[in-house]
Amino acid sequence: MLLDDKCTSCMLCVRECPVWCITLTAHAEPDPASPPGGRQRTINVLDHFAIDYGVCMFCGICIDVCPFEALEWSAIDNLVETSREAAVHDRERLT
Amino acid sequence: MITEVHAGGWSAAATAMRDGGGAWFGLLTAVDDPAASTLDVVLVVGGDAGVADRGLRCTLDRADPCLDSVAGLWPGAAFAEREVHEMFGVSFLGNLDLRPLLLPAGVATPPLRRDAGLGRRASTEWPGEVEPGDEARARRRPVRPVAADATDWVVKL
Repeated sequence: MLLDDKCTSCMLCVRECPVWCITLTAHAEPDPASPPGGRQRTINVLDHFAIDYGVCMFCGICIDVCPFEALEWSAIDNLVETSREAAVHDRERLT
Repeated sequence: MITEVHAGGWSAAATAMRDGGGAWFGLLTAVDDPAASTLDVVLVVGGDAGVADRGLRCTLDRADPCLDSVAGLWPGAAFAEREVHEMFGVSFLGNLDLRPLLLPAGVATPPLRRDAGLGRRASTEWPGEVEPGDEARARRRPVRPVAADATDWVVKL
């Protein structure tokens, strides 16, 4: 399960995944906490996050590597889908 | 405890293990060692109450791995032998149903041999290549974990 308010789009989970089942895109926005006068800082804002459960092997490495605890185990009672595309759970289904 | 046996003594050792209280089939799998040109087949059986799990290991020639079937001793082993046949290319003499479970006909190298190339991975785009946010400001490009060559991930021994 994804706690998207904690996700910083750092890409660690995507890059550590041994089976490449996570996809993520983000865009940069000006950081409102950036101090005035200094260089405008940016933060990454999550656009898209998906886990392909047709590929995921439930190793939990993504959960282990996330430095912000934005991913956690959750009980999914039924992962049976009728198509490969439906097995890709997007942000709405993961949060 | 795992006992090493020769291919010729496989059936006898398995029979002795079953008759000695190893009534429950546990697992049958193989370990490929291309450096030594061998393929180990491992069998583990569970004991009756009070009897510990035991196993057998048999080192086979990688070029032509061939072993007697133990499906007559534990019917459940037939399916595991079918799988090991498909994934490692081991022939089990006496097992009459070694049809492939998953693979289409004509796969050259059994996929769990260490020299089997992972072609699909070489042709798949790595999702980690995407740089989130301001791509122009990324300090360094992420390094794809495997090279483009289909066999490059094979462990060099």
